[in-house]
Amino acid sequence: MIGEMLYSGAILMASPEVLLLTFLGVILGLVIGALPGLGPLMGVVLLLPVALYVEPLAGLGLLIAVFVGGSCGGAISAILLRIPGTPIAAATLFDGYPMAQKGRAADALGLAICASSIGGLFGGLLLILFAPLLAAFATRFGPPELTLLGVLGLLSIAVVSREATTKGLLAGMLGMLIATIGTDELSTGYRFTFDSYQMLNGFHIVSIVVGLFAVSEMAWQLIGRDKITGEVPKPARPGLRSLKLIAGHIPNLLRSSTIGTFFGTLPGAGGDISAFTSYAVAKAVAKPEEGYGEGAEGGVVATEAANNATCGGALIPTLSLGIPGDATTAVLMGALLILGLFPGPALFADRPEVVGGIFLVYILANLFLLVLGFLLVPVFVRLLRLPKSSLIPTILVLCAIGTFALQSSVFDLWVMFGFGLLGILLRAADYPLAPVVIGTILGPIVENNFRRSMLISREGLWIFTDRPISMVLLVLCIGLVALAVFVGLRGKALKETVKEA
Amino acid sequence: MRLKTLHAELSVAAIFVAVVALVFQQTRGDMVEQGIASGGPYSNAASYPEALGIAIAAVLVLTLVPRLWAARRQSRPGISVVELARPAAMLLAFAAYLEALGVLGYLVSTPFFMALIMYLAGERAPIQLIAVPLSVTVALSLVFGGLLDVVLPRGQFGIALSW
Repeated sequence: MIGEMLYSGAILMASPEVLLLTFLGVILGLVIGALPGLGPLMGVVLLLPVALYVEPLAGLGLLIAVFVGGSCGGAISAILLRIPGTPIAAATLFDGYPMAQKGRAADALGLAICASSIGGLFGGLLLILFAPLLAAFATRFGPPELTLLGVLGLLSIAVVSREATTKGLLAGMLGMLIATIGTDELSTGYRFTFDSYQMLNGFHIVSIVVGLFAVSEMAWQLIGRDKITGEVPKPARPGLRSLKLIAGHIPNLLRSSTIGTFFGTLPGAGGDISAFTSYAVAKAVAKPEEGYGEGAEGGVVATEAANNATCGGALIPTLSLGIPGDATTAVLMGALLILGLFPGPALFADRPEVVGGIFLVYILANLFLLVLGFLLVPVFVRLLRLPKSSLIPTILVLCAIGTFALQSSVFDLWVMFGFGLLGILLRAADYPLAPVVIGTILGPIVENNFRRSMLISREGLWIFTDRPISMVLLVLCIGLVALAVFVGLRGKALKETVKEA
Repeated sequence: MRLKTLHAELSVAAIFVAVVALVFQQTRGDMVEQGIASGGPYSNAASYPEALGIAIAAVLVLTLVPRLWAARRQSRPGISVVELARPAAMLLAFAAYLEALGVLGYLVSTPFFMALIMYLAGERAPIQLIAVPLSVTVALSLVFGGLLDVVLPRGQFGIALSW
């Protein structure tokens, strides 16, 4: 089955458009990832409108390649400027920056690229092995299981929300409520449309995502936070020596890639948690003379292998169950839905060539990353000098034109602007933004399956406990709510302790 | 004057309250008129948003009460109102730009908007203020108009580049 899927995917992938856009996606991802304050999510958000204008696999290849490149690009500024381009590269600076200070910037960059690429490939391998298995298992899921799976995905995201669990839940439910705007699928009635024909189909997911993440981020950057210190990075070009160096870290590489993939599969865990966990594990098993925190090669390898392996892991539940692993995969899932491809077991059964193509473009992006990373690092280093004053207006114009391009609709532009304002306010109040998007995507899945469950049920809500798989999912949901309460109480204590420190 | 996180949290809480109120206003008004606020799971489209509204209200109370209690003992410095002037100006300029897209079109409004934002972001070199907006405007027009066949806003004067 996997072989056939990959074969048909390879045929689909062997088009110049797919190859070119995957290639370009890695470059753009590296650039966006390297620029402090942006990151893979921003890259995927900004290029989403572009991806919808080309062939489905080419568009998905572009977005997946940006995801892969962006997950690695953050290491460049972390190593050279001590500013992680993305939160997922934060752990890389523990040893990457000391390496650069000791005159080993080229080695650190080379190790980061190699580890990212190999970690990504490892994640891709597990994606190819496990996603079809999980999808095959998920064919047993009916409406009750799909309802609870959606709830579970949202709860997971909320529980691990960095800011606060209850705020994550509120943001997620707001997203679910936003998803109800428009024509109801079952009754065909109009909800919250206020007699406006433009709202009959609800808000376009791209307008929501671009506004929430990109517009609010640009306004946030103008407040003066996350400002580049003005330090000019020294030129550095990694060489083939890095391949020799990485060969000395195989156990660390495999362990960190496994950790990264595992955390990727958990909705909400994300690259930053996996990178910090891998770093902690690598440090714990290392000998004291390796000097973690003072420029140890193993530190860079552990964090970079983990955060790129997370990409592959995050795609497993996204493709096989339709539950996005994080905000970036939520946007990728949004792209799949817009393209008429519904993630889940049906996608594997009905469009195996697309699934195979996605697997292969992911693998290809990681291979491109290895080559392009080595060749173009000096260019990316120069890009770190790009002034924010040019970057912010360019991104804003890209947001406007990209959103307009979707349906040539001025209404979409104002929706984007409105969500930009909402995003600024939510950021200021320490609310996580990702659950809003995930709630918007999972909302219709949860609602429609819940109502279908009620239709087929003879005992009302007991249908959720009658079936073994839904019972397990229900127990997991209840466990997560209990964990949320526990984390909420304990989190407060931890925050206070940190403040005191 | 400084705006504290608590102020933002209270503003967001006010939005949530308004959203919940709106949900019930619609489910008990417009949706009843349409006949989709009662009946079985297939025809009742109001019960799910109502359930979400109730859940939001409950979690909001759980979030806000401890926060207000904690605010009596501790308060963070927050952001100075002066620091917010630039993002506020950016948002105003962005809103004006979105409006101008329909009137003046992409090609005319974009360079002005970009130059204004660059100035707000601290750029003062005249060459940069002219060259960057013009080159980005043309480059994006090429990508979207030329490569992706997107019809960019032409405004009331119908100004556009043909690629």
